[in-house]
This record gives sequence, structure tokens and C-alpha cells, in this order.
Amino acid sequence: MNEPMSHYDIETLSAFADGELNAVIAARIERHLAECSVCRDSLRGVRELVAAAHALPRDIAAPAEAWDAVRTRVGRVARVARGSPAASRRHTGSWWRSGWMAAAAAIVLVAGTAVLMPRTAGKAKATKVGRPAPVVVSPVAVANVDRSYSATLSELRESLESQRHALSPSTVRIVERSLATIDTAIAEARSALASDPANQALVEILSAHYERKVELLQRATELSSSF
Amino acid sequence: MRNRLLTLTLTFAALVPWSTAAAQQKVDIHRSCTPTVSVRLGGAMSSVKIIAWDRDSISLTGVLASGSKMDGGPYNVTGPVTGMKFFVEAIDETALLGNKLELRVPRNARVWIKAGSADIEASGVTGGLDLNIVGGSVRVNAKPRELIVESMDGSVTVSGSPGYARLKTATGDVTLQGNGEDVTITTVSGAIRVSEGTVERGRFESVTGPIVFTGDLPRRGDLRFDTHSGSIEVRMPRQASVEIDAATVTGTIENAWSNARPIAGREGRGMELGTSSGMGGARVLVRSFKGNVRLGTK
Amino acid sequence: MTARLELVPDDRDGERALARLASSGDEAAFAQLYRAHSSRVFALCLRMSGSRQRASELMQDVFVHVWERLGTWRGDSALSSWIYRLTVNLVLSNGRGEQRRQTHETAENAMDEGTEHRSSRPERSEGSELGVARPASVHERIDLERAIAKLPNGARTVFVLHDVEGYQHAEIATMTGTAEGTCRAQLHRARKLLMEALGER
Repeated sequence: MNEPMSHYDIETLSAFADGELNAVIAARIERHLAECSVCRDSLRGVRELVAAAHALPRDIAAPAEAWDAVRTRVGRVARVARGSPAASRRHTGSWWRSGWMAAAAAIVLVAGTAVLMPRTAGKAKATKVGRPAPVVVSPVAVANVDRSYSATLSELRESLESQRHALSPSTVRIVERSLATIDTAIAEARSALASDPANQALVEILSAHYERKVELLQRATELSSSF
Repeated sequence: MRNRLLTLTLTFAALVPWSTAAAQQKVDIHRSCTPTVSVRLGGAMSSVKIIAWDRDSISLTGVLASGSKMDGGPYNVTGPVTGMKFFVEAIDETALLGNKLELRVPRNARVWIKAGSADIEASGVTGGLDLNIVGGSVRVNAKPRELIVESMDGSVTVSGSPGYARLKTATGDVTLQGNGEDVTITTVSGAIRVSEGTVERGRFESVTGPIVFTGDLPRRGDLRFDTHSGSIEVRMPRQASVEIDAATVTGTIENAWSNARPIAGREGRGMELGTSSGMGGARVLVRSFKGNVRLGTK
Repeated sequence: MTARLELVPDDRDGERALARLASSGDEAAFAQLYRAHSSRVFALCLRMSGSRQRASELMQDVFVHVWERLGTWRGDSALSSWIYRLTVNLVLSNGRGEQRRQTHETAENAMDEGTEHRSSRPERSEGSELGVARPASVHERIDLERAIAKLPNGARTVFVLHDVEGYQHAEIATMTGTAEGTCRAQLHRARKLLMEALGER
């Protein structure tokens, strides 16, 4: 086979893929593609990249504490707007006093931390959570929190299992030990939350543990997947 | 694609050609480069030393064990190198131990290392460092603008003043000595020690590992400590102008920094403490599930 | 307690009612808006800024703006489009004002600035920890996200808006205040850099 010696650059092929080039140039590229496997590969790569970008999840759960911050700032804005005196300094006790806040935070969690969830899953979840904020977090809400993480976690778990052979036994041990440590912490936070369901702090703690677990699993899968 | 990477001709010379077993190969690569060159080095190495120098050139030297292979090269063929990438493969764990490299780069370079279990030492780099290991250790003595270290078991020690630092381990300990503008340290069970400096914005988190912070707080400092069961000790100057907010779910809080007394937490469990001094310009937030918290002076 | 309103995506009347409540100062209604849109807004902020920390701050700004300006939403477009447009504008205007900060924050992921290869940390499998080929899709998504985070600002913005979010070049040009041709060029550059980073070329 006589492969052409020169190739189109990615930018040109990308413009070609988007149909932006004039007919003359496009025709020339098509002729070239017919003979050049390197450029065909590149063009396929561009198309795969665009498809992969489009398939990225549209929803990524915001950190649970962000709501707290938004609410505080909005409260300040509202007070200033109404001309009432400036907000009194937040005292420590308020940290977990607000059942309303706890409820909202829990539901924000339910909305998914699905960093890795496919777009459709993210959408389905986003529409499901349109329930108004109850005053108290029910254990059901807590279970929902678990569930929303469980898909992401099991996906990562599975992916880690599938490449366990690529990791050294000592690495596997370290990862397993750390996962077990986090799981213990999750269990403790869950049981504390079960007996004190309106506790905003516990919701935050539980979500932080889950985040850590997701993060650790991500790092572990990256160890084997890439240089 | 890998095969399209321009491969630099490496000079692999047998150091001891007659040696029966452990014949080593010498690595000796030198190239002129741009001051902000980016270097990526990954694979099976037991030791990597990164040294910044005042020259616009890169040198990669060292030895590879018999059977190990190195692949890679610069990104551009003509002119000073803008980026280089190398990958080292070893046939087994023993060979890996014999792979030791030293990398010299311009101060402003960005260096990226990924190794399984390795001791990595970096000094003098003011550009960026992104260092990934599983085991072994990372020691950084530099003032990099950006410092990212990810390790599982390996310990991480940073002295110097990273502008922006993200240090993560699973079981490894993390020590930061010096200043930091924006620092996040995260671990599962490793110990976090921060001392001898000023951190403007700090996030320190562990699950079971203890955290000890001894340092100064700038006027608008913002520090946050989180653990599940790890103890938290925060030592600051008594005259620091700071607002402190500490709370635990079941852990104790002891305050030797000011006269404020912690109060019982929600439903009589855990403790809470709010205290401040001066104008309260800086902010310290301490949260633990069942770890014990201690505030003290330095 | 406020009237309970369900927020269904295509329910414009429901959205209007909810927005009215929220703009009149009803926190529960506002919380509901937050719940419905925060994860999408966060994703946008995250991808456009390249940093989780920054994204969290930006998202907070977005919702404070939403709260302040909800009264100006006419209801002629979907509330979601209005919020996302506001998000894009806010992230963009922030990016222009905060150079110093950005150099630090985007560096959370970006190590290879200014060179033409800009590879991301997770590179195509030259080998794994022990030299084994890389598998499947979860990694590829993670890799892609990381690689996007490492793009130079201009290229990242256009790539995220066009290829991830599905905006047209004309819209992007208006939002970013650049020529359409520049947008296209940025997009192709972004794709090229990503292909290199992901080891495709």
C-alpha cells in the first residue's frame, strides 16, 4: 500500500467533521481520506471525542456545604434589601440547629453526586427530587443518599475489580484497608444520623465520607489505567 | 499515538558488560529546552531526583536495570524542546529497584511524575510539580507555584512555600513545613502535620489520621479542619486575630488558647466552642465526628 | 409553610409560580430551584473553570444572582436556560477579572500550560502501574474530564459550551464577545489538544 506521506492536521479534520470547509477543500480531503488510513484514524478520533464530550454527564452534584453558603449569603442580601439591621454574627450553635437546612442539604445530596453517572441517569434523578423541603430528614431520605452514591461507587468498584490484576498486591491491600477505614466511618455517621435525623452536621459528615470514598476509588482506578 | 511519538535515540551503554547478572544501562540525555518546558516521566522507577538549575536545558541521567526499557522523547524536533515524555518499563520488581533517574530542569519547568513505588525528591523548582506514587516517599524542597502530590501509602514531606498545593494520601503521612497560599491536604489514615509557617487558605481533612497544626494566621486566613475519629490539635499565637468555631459529634474539645469554655453539643452529646480574639479577621473551623479537639498556643 | 409546588421540567407555569414565590423572598421556593438546577449549574462551573473549589464558589455566586434577579426573568424562555445563560456569563466575566487566581486554581489540574502537547495526567496506556493496557469507559470519562480541565481557558470555554453543552458558535460568540471564526478556531484547537492529551495523536 502506498500511504500518503503528508497528513492533514487535527484542526482541519475537525473543521471538516463539522462541515465548515468549502466544497473544493472538502472534496480534496475526501480524496485524501480514501487513501490515507492515518487521517481516517484521526477523523474517527475527532468524531469519537465529540461523541464522548456530548455523552458526559450534565449533572454533577454540588458539594453539600455549598447550599449552606448560598443560603447564608442570600439571607444577608434579603436582610439588606429589607433595610433591617445587619445579620448578627453566626454563633456556633447554629451549625446543626436548622432542621430546614438539614433537609435541604440531604435532598441536594439525593440530587446525586454522580460524577460519573451517564447523562440520562442524571436527568432522571434531577426530575425525581422535586419534592418540597420537609422539616425533618426522614430515614428514607438518608437511604436515598446512600442510593445516590451507590451507583457511582459500584461502577467504580467494578472497574477497579476488573483491573485488579494490573495492581500490585501491596497496592490492593492499601486501597482495601483505606476503603475499610472509610466504610467504618460511613457506618458510624449513618447510625448517628439514623438516631438524629435532623442533624445537618451528620449529613455533611456522611456526604464527605462518601466523597472521599469516590475519590479514593477514582485514584485507585487511575493507578492501573494510565500513564 | 505512541508509535508516532518522536523517539529520541537513547544512549544505553552497558556499564559493566562482563557482569554476569545485573548489567546496568546508563541513561544520559541532554537537550536544550524552553524555560517553561514540560517534562513527563512515568513507569517503573525506584528513585527519581528532580533538580532545578539555572539553565535552559534538560538532562536526564541515571541507570536502568538490565531488561528495563525506556521509551519516549521530545515533542518537537526543531528548536528548543517544549516538552518531553519518557516511560520506563521493568521486567520485574527487582529490575524496578535498579531504575534510578535524575532529572535536571529549568526552574520554571513543569514536571509530572507517575511511578508505582518510588522515592521522589524535588528541589528548587518554581514552576509546577505533579507527583504521583503508590508507595515510597515524596520530598519536595522548593517553592513551586503549583504542587500536586498524590500518594497512597507513600509519605509526603514538603518544605518551602508552595503557592497552591494539593496533597493527597490514603495511609501515608503528610508534613508541610513552611508557608502556603492555598493548601489542601487530604488523607484517610495518615497523619497531617503543618508547621513553621503561615497558611492563607488551608483545608485539612482525614478520616482516622490525626492533624496537628502549628502556625501563624494571616489577617484574612481561612483554615478548616475535618476528621472523623482523628484528633485535631491547632496551635496559634495567643494574639492571633481570629474567629474560631469548633464542634464535634461525640469527641471532646479542650481550649487552652482562650478563656472560652466549650459547651455541650446537641442533645448533650459532643461539644461546641465559639471563641475569637482581636477583630476576628481570620477564620478557623474545626469539625470532628468523634476525634478529640485541642486548641492551644504556639 | 409555603404552597407545595412540584417542579417538572417542561412546566412553565409551575416555574413561573415558583420563581414568583422565590423572588418574593420565599426561601423554601428558592431551595426548590436550587435543588432542581444546582447540579447542572455546578457541572457547568466545574467544566468551565477547571477547578472544583472555584466551581463551588462560582455556583454560589450564580445562585445569589438568581435570587437577586429572579424578578427580571420574563418567563419567555425556560427558567433553566435563563439560569444556565446567567451561569455562563458569570463564569466568563469572572474569568476575565481574576487572572492571578486562575493561574493557581486551574492548575489544580493543569500542569502543561503553554506548550502544544498539553497532555493530561491520565495518558493513553503506555502502560499501567505494571505495564498492562488500560481498560474501559469509566476511565475514559475521567480522563476526558481531566483533560478538559487542563485546556487553556479560551479553548476550554468554547469546547465545553459547544461540544459538551451543545451551544451554537453564534451564541458562544455573543456570550464570549468574540468573532464566530475565533470560536471555531478555538474549538478545533481544543479538540486537537484533547486528542493529544488523550494520546490519540
